[in-house]
Amino acid sequence: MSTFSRTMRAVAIKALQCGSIPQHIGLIMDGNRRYGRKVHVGNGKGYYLGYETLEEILAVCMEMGVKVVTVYAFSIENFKRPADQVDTLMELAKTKLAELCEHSELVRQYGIGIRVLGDTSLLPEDVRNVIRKAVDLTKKNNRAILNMCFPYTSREELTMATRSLVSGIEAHDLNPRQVSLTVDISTSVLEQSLYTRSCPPMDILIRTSGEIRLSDFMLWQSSRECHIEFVDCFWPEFTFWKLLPILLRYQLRAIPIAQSRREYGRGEVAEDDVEGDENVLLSTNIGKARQTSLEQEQDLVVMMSQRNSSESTLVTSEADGTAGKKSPCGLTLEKKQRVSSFLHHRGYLPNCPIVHLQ
Amino acid sequence: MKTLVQVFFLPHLFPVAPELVRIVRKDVGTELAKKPTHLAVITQKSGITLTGEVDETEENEWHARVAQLAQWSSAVGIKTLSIMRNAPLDPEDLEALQDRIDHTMKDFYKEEKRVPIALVRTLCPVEESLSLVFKKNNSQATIQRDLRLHGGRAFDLDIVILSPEDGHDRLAGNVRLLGEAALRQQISSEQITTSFLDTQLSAELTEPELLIILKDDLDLSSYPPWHIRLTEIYHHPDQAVIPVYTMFLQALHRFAKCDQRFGK
Repeated sequence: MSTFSRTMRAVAIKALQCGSIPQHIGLIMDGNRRYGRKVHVGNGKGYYLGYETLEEILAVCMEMGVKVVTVYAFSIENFKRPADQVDTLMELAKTKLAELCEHSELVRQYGIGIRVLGDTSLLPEDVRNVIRKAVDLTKKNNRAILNMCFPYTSREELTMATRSLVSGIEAHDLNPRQVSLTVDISTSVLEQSLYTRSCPPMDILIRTSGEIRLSDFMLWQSSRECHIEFVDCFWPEFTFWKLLPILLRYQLRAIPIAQSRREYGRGEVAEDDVEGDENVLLSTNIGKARQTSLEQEQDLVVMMSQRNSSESTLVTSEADGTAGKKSPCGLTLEKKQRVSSFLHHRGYLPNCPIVHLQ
Repeated sequence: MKTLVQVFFLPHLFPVAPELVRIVRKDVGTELAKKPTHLAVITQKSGITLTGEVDETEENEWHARVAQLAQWSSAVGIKTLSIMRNAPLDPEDLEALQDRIDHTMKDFYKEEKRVPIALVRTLCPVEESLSLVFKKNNSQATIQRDLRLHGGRAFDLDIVILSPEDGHDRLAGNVRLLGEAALRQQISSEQITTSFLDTQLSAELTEPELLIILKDDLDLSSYPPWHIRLTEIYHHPDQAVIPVYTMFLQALHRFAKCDQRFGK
């Protein structure tokens, strides 16, 4: 890249940083094979070109200050592809993951933690070993996260989370019923049980190659307050200059998105518990995104004391005058401890260790 | 010059919302390679805001929009139409909506011999979906499902009104339901597979093949996440300029041309 284009890029990034930078970007890297055929290098080389584009876009995102980048590297449905293509992808994954965790300047510079999302039991043994090593070597990195979805489908993720939570209930780690004002299995707890547990909510989801569907990628995460864009170029052709207008369009929506997340957060808080205690064990960024800011906590407490019932039908206004009942804050802390303990033990995912992003 | 063209010729470029079924059939044409059986639409807003205030005019407009979509969907042969709105619909409003739909369908089909029956519903509570997973015979389950959805009445078009609670919150409610079933020893956590959940969650709502978003931004608005796995999502940013009928036609044509590889 010439000095001129590098300078222009730096100027553009500085300009973008005057507005809000998305915390979490999702990428469906579609069109590698078609691009490979278009430039007459074949499917296999198409995948390698796609990886190079990923490195570039990742570097750009890190430079801008994006915290989490989630990429759709391989779908469980992709196992249906011809064996030689699947083998190429496995080889690519092995070499590149090893490179990323051992030699990558980018990972070191930006403190990127590598996570591999998906049902890795479907992968060959050698790939699983490389994954385990990559995740282990980078698990202490807490300034940014790279989520490689390999092999992943959103339905498998939701099934895994459901099964995991139900096994927690079977083992009496968690309670499915409502106790006073708290309920263990709320929407935010289900969200914390997914593979993307350490990550802030998804802000932008981009799919290349002109297809207009999600193909089982991040269905839960992109369902609400997420800016989705379908781009009409193949993934290896995707550059910073194609990303730029997407970021600008996102910045136009950033304030309404933050606003509706806060409003949803108030509804969730009223459903779950009272957020009075700062020293909670499970203060992941998901919780932070849902929590009201410090100035608004005041009116939240006032709001809770004034309201008898919340927006959610789950919270009933039970009589709380019985002697010996703990305060709502006490129950809240117990519930958070239960959930946290569950996520660190029975619900633990070795390839997605929980980290508190800086 | 371009402005002059746009001002004077724009109305002629876009077809007006039709009042009779034969116009829709003519506009859609007969060359569509495939048509969706389930169409989902995310509407801009209803008359009810997040704080619970009701705006009568907007609510009325929303009802009119739903009735229109019902007309066009039935003309094309769509079997299920699901509409997402930003707040739940009360049972009284549901009845009012049903009356409106019946009335407009009669008008729309006045030149035809038979008026198709369009019945509107909201999703039943999640507790009722578990028993369906235990039914072994699949073909019977489909017939029984059709009968169950509208209390035994026959219908040509099934209209489902969804709200944000039917998205993430319903999935969380489903986990609680399965947890309680596990505590009662009715199921074990190992039985929970993707197809188990699919059978359970599809009991009330099938997967839409095409989703049209009638909002300025491409926002899925908590449409039930499980169901839009492979759905083609149609959205046009110029909502203020392009009429809804044009978007409807364009979405159908786009859907007919799309090529699903299913991972291969």
